[in-house]
Amino acid sequence: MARLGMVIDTRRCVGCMDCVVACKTENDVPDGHCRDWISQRLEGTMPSLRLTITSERCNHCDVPPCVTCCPTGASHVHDYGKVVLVDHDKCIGCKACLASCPYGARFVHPDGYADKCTFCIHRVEKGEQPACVAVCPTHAMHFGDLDDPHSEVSRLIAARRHFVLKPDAGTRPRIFYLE
Amino acid sequence: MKAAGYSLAELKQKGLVKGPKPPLYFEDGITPEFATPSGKIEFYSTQLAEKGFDPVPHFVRPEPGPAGSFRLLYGRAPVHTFSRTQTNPVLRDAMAENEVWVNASVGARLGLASGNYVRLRNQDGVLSNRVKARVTEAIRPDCVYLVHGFGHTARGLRSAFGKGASDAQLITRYVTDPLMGGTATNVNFVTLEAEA
Repeated sequence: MARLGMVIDTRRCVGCMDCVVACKTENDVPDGHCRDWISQRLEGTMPSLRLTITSERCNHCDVPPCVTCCPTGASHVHDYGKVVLVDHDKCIGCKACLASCPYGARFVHPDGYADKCTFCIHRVEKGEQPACVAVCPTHAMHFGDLDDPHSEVSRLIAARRHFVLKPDAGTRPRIFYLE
Repeated sequence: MKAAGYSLAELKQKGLVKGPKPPLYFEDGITPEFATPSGKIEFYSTQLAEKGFDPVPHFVRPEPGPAGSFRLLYGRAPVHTFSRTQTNPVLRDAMAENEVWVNASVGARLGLASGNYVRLRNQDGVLSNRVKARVTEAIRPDCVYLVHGFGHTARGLRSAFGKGASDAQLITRYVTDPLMGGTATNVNFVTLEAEA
């Protein structure tokens, strides 16, 4: 397992929030917080409009500022798939990572530690898909190894026009949105 | 039942009778036939003309509403189902209330911004619950839009009570298609009243 990432097809996403509900249920996300969310971007003026819907979460960046700024090393890059995770026991809840993340992906869990999307690593290590990817009713979401040129995610990125969120932030995010 | 070739006795004895499944498509080479006097698809219908209807459909412009009012449109959000999921805690977290979509230029003219609360009053004087405005380009200037299912009035539904406005409450008029009887409910017009 080299580098795990996601490809999300914005043409198929209808903003149903099944991914949000699935994540909440799978990961016991506390009330009032979310590990993933739906964003909508409307461009143009009536009647020439363009709506882009994106399902967003931690981008498990290649250059993660949340890891660099963590004083205890709680925020770290996991060996398996190079997923960015938080060690709950080491986290002191200082919120430096919340401030450093350009995507607003993190929140403080009521139990005191910084929390965010884990790419459902507990499922992935068992050969399953992340919960959000598994439930998407329009099959808009894809997950896999970005370092494998033959993986579905690699092939989609090679074949279709795509964008990442905040490319100027220098984070090299690992979630690619298909146009 | 007689027309379909069944009898009550047969139905009572069998319990469930399934008719033959008609083919979905006509096979190649078979000349299709339709249940019209000519046996063909008719763009000009003599049957309709005989009954006093337009033999060829003509567009009839819908009646506009009173000046200064907006046609009330309603629709669905994928998060909620009808008016029965508004108390679901997880879904409420995703969408706790509906919003009235108002065109951006209309909002500018009325001094309305997204997040401001308003009430909707329809042509028959029915006043809605307070509802948040969403000022957006995504709705026509002569219409407003609500997601269906909100504005619950049952106090027992504590977490949904008073959240958003009910489109159903404002639909006091409907029109019926003279040909096939279908009802249309997008014929109600509302004005917006600022809420303190």
